[in-house]
Order: sequence, then structure tokens, then C-alpha cells
Amino acid sequence: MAKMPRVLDRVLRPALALLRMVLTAAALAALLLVAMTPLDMQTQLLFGASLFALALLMNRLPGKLVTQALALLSMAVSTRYLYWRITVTYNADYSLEVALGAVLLGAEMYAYLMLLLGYFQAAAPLPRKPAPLPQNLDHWPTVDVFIPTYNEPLEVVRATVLAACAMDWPREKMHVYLLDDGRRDLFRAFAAQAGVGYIIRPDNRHAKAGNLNHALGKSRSEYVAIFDCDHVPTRSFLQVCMGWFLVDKKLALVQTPHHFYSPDPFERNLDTFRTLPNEGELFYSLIQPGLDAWNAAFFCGSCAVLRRSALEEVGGIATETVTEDAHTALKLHRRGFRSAYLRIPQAGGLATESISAHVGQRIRWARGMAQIFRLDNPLLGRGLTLAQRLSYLGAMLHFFYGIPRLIFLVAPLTYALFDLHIFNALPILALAFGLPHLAHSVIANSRIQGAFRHSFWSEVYETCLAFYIAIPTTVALLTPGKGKFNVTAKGGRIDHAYFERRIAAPYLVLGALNLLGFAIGATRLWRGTGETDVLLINLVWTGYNLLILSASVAVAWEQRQVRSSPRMAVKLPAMLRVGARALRCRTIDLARGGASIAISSKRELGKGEPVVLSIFHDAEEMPLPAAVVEQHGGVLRIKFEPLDLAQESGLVRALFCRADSWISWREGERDRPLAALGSIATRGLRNFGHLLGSRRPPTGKGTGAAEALPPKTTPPGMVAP
Amino acid sequence: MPTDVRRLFEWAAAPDFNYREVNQEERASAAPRQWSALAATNRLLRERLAGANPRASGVPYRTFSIAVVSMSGGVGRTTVVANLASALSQNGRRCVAVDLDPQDTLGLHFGQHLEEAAGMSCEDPAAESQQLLVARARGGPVVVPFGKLDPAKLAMLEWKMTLERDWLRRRLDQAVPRDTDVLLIDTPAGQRPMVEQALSLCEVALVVLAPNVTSYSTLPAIEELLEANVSPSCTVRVLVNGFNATRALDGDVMASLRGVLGQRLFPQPVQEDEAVAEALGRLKPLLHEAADSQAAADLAAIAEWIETYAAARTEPGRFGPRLVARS
Repeated sequence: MAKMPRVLDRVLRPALALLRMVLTAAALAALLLVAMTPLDMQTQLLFGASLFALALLMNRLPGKLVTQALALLSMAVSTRYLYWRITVTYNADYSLEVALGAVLLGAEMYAYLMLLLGYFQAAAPLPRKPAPLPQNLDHWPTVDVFIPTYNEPLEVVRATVLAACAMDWPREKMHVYLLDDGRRDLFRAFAAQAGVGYIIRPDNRHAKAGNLNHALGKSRSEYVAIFDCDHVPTRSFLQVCMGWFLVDKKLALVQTPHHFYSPDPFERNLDTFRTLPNEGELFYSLIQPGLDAWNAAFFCGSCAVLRRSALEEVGGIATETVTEDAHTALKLHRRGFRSAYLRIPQAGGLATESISAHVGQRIRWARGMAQIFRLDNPLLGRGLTLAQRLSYLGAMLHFFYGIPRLIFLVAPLTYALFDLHIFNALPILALAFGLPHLAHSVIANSRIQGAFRHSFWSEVYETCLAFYIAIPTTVALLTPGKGKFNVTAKGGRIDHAYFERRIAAPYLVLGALNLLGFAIGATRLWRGTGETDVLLINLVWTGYNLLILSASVAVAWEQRQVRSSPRMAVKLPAMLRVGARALRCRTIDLARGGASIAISSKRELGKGEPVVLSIFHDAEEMPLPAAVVEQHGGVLRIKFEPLDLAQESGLVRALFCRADSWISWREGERDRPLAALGSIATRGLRNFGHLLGSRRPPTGKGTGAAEALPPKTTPPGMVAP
Repeated sequence: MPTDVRRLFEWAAAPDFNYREVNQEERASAAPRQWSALAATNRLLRERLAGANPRASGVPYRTFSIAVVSMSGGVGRTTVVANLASALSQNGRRCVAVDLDPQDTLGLHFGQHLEEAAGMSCEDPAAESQQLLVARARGGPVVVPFGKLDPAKLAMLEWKMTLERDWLRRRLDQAVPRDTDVLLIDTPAGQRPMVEQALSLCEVALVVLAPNVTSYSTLPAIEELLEANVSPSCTVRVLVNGFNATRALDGDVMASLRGVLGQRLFPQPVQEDEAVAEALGRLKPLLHEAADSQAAADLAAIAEWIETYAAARTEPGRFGPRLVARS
């Protein structure tokens, strides 16, 4: 009897494999059939319309299977479009029109490839849960915690170090190290005071990667947790992450999301903080879980744990490229190690402080990915599965969007301005093939990504960077050895609102060109000096470009950011000791320097009155001495007295270390493509508001939350029951 | 499990994750290293708890009963009883608070005159029906005082109680209306017959401690008393009263207690708050006098726990829905 399953297995396994191959072949054949069958115009119109209606109907049904079916439908329709585009609209000829047409076709082929890779990456996101640890603490492994820093202020680093020390892990099994490439005495003194290791080296070779590698040589725990110096871990970080290492001996990496509690430049300048999904959410909520399903989740430099023995086998953190994190993960995967991604935010960090810093950071990422693509191409070499190769390919090719996006931004101008036909087809046919291609990808992507990125916002995010990453990626492809690591500035303040001309300039030029194209096109349409249908299509395209460009320019209106450590809407039960009285209250918001508290409005506290605030968030109560700043009815503002290290740690724990600090952070509606287009348009129109308002635009509400009273929304995650 | 951790793992769809509060465990073991008095007590206490073997086999009283006990005086036993009774009544529970402490101060919390002679101790058959109960004051609890006894009569009564093991049960039958939801029994400090009888019929034994070394060191003796008297079904909970974290020792006492008592300890202590004394000074219930008092909130949370526990533990109907919604 016991042999039965094995026999069954021996028969079933090849049978299933064969079945899968047959089905795949059949599906491919069907796809090609759909893509290649020629239809006359009317039938094609009817075909497109009925598929679109089918997609709309299907989209009303719930379920993962329907999502995958919609993606398949989109793939079929887009393949059909591209097939038609290559075989029918393009003819090799030597003229300017054809050359430009080839450029556009190239950009479209890139977009098509990214569409397919995107569907592949997000085909079946893995909802991985944390694995339990053994009951006996003696069996828990040892962990070194590395906090690399270079030039960041001590203020930012203190919270991270104190929070790292407060993680719920046996004291003698955890060693926190501050890796100071700035070699600053203040940092050394603080490390000694906090009781953490302090490691420096004589030079700064290979920047962060070199810093980490140097520290690897100076420590010896079985695992290494890495936090950028502004990423403050919650107390549960290690218990959430470590379990899988004990389950899977070949597991080399556990990565968690990078969560930012301060608004990034997009969120601040476009006022989308905590209402719309931010730029990182798509990657950390969908793409990484998707990659995890293919055993291709990669290291993101921070908020992760690595197995030391695995790291040593690949020679430490990779130093050949400026994105050492992804490259290290690639090397680990090549060696047959596995990676895991846990979509559980267990650390909070500071977003890049300005749009120029943001652009700088993305240039580094793009350049680094291009370097890896060139030096250690995932399609080549040993050790990767096909799925891993495709996953890495998607992650790297993503950063080559610069040039294609610029092409799409100028393509419609060729007809309006120069009367060139770079898209050689009957306009009605272009619509019959092109519209389904676009519409299906919007439907499928809205369904797959809607919760993490609203429709068309990718265009805004990417357009903002397109000009700046186009050159570095190209240069890195040609000369991968060049380029050095630049440190991203964080935790700064912007005293006055201003317009970041340097960043906006290329988009102002592109915007002006599109505006000109639109005006000329409209005039020609009005006068009847051109083909009406071509002009109409070009007008819509130019209009769309203007929409995206205006939102991209609006990002350059830097809004005021007054606090380097933002005030956070942490709503927790608390107690205020005033003299011998203990008053029950709740915190409204908390910052490193003070707090706002809801108390009974019957109490009247004088300015400067000494009080002691206790915040109840875990078993241990840490009283914090403070003085009253002011009281408005039931809202009391207090300022903390200078805190000793234990008290500062208590405050940091209340602010950042609660296990649930960063869950359900954003409140917002689900994606509706047309509404998303509307919200982008609103952001674009703000340019005019800023221009008309004065040279100095009004401070946005987004930053207001950092300064004034309670923000409009309270995320449910921040409220203790 | 602490709230933040519970919420995280529910969100992560792993509600059964076995989270270890390692820091707290380490703090609990560090505290006795710092204060040798705690270490000495913990040794005795651990031995006692390890060998715990309830010898008594008492039958719980017909009404869900809570005995509030302590070894040392002045830890706030009576205040706890009075405020729990107020909170439970305010929650719409029919509550009776019985004073077994010869100091007879429970009534004071409800504005009762100090000269009243009647009460639990007064066994004059003629006075029985007349003065045993103190009327329910404006929806408050029924309060049964101990009564005034001179030392000789008190000694007689205690002698009598050592012989008549069912004395308290008999007296309660006379004093406690049948439709009562909760019975709270205030007891004198130390090992006395009243305490033993109260423990033998209660379903929850609530031990009150002050966060100091003296009170802490009585814990082994209290555990011995409990072991000898409570029925196996009785639940013991230790409550720290008058906690103030600005004193270094308080936090360590609490941490050490958590380590050695675990589930037996109420995780949240009752904070030290002048409002408690001031409310008594005005002869007004704390909850009315100082709505924003943290001590009042802490006591209300314990009342809340009692209700939840009683509803879960007692058979249906015995602890029904609240009579009136909380205002």
C-alpha cells in the first residue's frame, strides 16, 4: 500500500509535465492564431469591440483566475497589434519618415516587452506569511545588525540605533553595529553611550557595499540584518523575518518593504500623501511578492536579513555596480540560494527630501541596473531558472524606459509640426488595432495593480525621471565601469517653497513643444488644411502628453517642509501626571521634540507647567518629562524636556517600534482609470494655480500635516483600540 | 498578547504566531538582579507556585463572588472594592459589596455614617431584617457594612467563625438578594477567619499589592493562604495599586511580578492618583468626581475584565446581559 503513491507519482508526474507542455503549446498556438489571422477592417473593428466588451464583463467578476484571464486577453490583443504593426504598417524604405517610424516602433516594442514581463512578474504574487520560531530561545540564531552611515545627521541615526537595540530578540544573540564611514567623534560617543559596536575603516572604497563588507569581517553572527541609517525597525522585525531561515537552509535573503513615513517629493508637491499609492508601493506590494513566487525577490539594500555563510560564498556584498543590493541577490540566486519577500512593513524611513535628491537616487538605481545588465546579464551565465532570468530581465529593462518615454512624448509632433507620417496606416485601422491594445492593458493593469498604483500614474512617475535616466542608462550600457555611488539626502527641511527649475526645464521644453503641436494641429483642423482623422488622433495624443507633462512639471514646485523629524499621528492611550494627579488622555500626534494630547477640556494647564507623559503602547511604561506649551480647549501641546537615553529610547519605541506601526498606513479609494486621469489633470492644473498665486506658491496641505494640528485622515493602523 | 503584536499578526494573516516579548522577559529577570529583596521573594514564591496544590474543596457561592485580599494593610483594598462596585453598578450590574473588615470603612466610600452599628457582624435576630442592608444609593451597589464591634465581641466572633466554617455563607444568604450578579467581598489584612471563609467561597481571588518591597515580600504568604483556602476552580489575579513609574522601583517591581506571576498578574496596574483620596474626602465615587482620572480608568478596565470573565465562566442566565446601557 505504501508503494502506491510512489508508483502513482512516477506515472503522474511525467504525465502532468507532458500535459502542461501540450497545453502551453496549444495556448501559444491559439495566441499566434489570434495575433496573425488577417481580418478586414470591419471585422477587426467588430472583433476589437467584442473583446473589449468581454473584458469589461469579465472585470465585474472577482477572482485571481479572472485577473489572469484578463492579462492573457491583453497579451493576445497587444500581440495582434504589434504583429499588425510590424507586418503591415512598417515597410523598409530609406526615408526620414521610415527612420522615425522605426524609432517609434522600437519604443512600442519596448513597451510591449515590458507589458509582457510585467504580467509575468505579477502573475501569481506570493502572499508569504512569517514562519514561527522555535519555543526554546536557545535555538534562536545570532544576528548582527548593521547600520551604515556616511554623512547623515546624528539626529536621524539615533532613532535607528535605539530602535534596533529595542528589537525583541535575546540580548546576547544580537549585536548592533554603527558603521560610520564619516568617522565622526559624536557618532563614536553615541555608540558607546548606547552600548552598540562602532566600526570605521581607513577609506571609503565602494561606498556602502565596501562599508558593509568591512563590517562583515569584523563581526561573526550567523545572520546580518541591514538597515539604512534612517530606517527605524519595529520591535517585531527579527521575529517576523528570521523564521524562514530556520525552515529553509538554502534561504539566503529575507527582504521586507521600505516604508516611508514622511512624504516623498511626489506626495508632498502633488498632495497625494497617504491618499494615493506612492511610487514605491507597486514594487513593494506587488512586484516583490510576484518575484518571490519565482524565487527571484531581490535585495533592496535595507530592511533585510542575509545569511552570512551565503554572503561569504558570493564574496560579500557586490561592489562591481552602484546597485550593490540587486547585484548581490543575483549572485546569490546564481549560486542556488533562495530569497524570500515578506510584505510586512517592519521599518519606517524618511523619503527623499527633494525632487532633485529623488532624481539623483533614481539615476543611481537606473545606472546600477544597466551596469548589471551589461556586466552580469541575467539572460546569460549559469545557475538561474528561466523564471528568474525573466524576472531579473524585467527588473533591469524597467530602467530603460527613459528613451522610449521621450519618444512617445514627441512622436505626435512629427505630423503636426512637420507633416511627417511616421505611422504608416489608415487612421481608422490604427484605431481598430491600437485602441484594443491600449484599453486592454489599462483594464488588466488596473485590475492587477489598482490597489498599489492608480492608472496612468506610472506615466507621471516615469516621465519625471525619463530625461534624467535616459543618458546614464545608455552610458552605463556602453561603459559599465564608470559612475560612483551617491548618497541620497534625507531628513532635511525646505524652508521656503520654490520652483525647481533645473529639474523641470526639459519638461517645460517638451510641454511647450506639445502645446505648440496642439495649437498648430487645432488650427489646421479648424482651417481644414490636413487629414482630419490623423489630426484628431494626434490631438488626443498630444493632449494626453500635455496632461502627463503638466503633472510632471507640478512636481517641481517644491513645497515647504519644516520639520526634519515629522510629527506623526500616533493615537495611543496615554497618561499625564500633573502634580499628584494622573490624568487619562490620548496622544493626537507625536514627534521627537513634543506631543499634542487630547485631554478633558475642563483641565486648564498653564504655560510652562511641568508634566510627565506616559504613553501606553507596550507593557513597559516610560514616563517622559515635559512642559506645557499651550492649550486650546481639549488639545494640549507639550514639549519634552531634555531626555536621557532611556527616555529617548522610550519615546522612539512609542513613535516607531510598535509592531503595527506601519500597517494600514494609507487610506484611499481603489483605482478607477478615468478618475485617475482626472486626478492627474487636477495636479497638472496646479501649475497655473502656483503661477497665478505668486512666485511663491502656498504651502501644501501635504506638508501641513507635518506642522499643524491633526492631519485630515487617521489611518486605522495608528489607533490602538 | 500585546495589542500592537496582535494587530500586526492579524493583519499578516498569521494570528497564531507565537510572539515572544523577549525584552520584557529580560527586563523581568534583570529587575531582581538589581533589587535583592525581590530576588529573595521570587525564590520563595517560585517554590510555592511550583508546588501549588489547592487542598481546599470549597463550593463556590451561589452568586459570582470576588474576594479582595492582601497581607499588608494600606494597599488600597477597600478603595478597590468600592470603585469596582461602583463601576460594575454603573455598567448595569446588580452588585453587592460586603465588608468583612472590622475597620468597617467600605461604607465610608458610599457616604455611610460611621456610627451605624448594624452589618455583617451584627447577629442580633431582632435587628436582622432591619439593618443588614444599606439601601442601593441612586443605582449604586448594595453595600453591606461590617458593623461596629468592640474588641471582645470581635474576638468572640472570630472564635465562632473558626468553629462554624459556613458562617459567611449563612450570613451572605441573609444579606445578598438572589438576583445579584456580582458579589464583592472586602476582607481584613492578614490571615484571619473572615479571609479564609471569603476565599473558600469565591470564584475570583483578587490580591491587592502596593508596588513596594514590603508588599512584594508578602506574596509567598498570600500564595500559601490561597493554596489552603481557595477551591480548585477559583481564579487568582494579582493587582498592583498605586503604581507610579516615575519611581524607579515601581517599574522593576512590576516587571519582576510579570516574570514570576505571568497570567496571574493584571498587566495594567492601577496608577497612583491623588483623585482617589480626594474623591473619598468628598465622600463621592471616584468615577463621578474625576472622570479623567487614570486610576478610575484602570479600575474601570478591571471591572470590564470581571464582566467578561464572569460571562465566560458562569452558566447561562447567572450572569446575564447588562441591565442598563452604560451612560
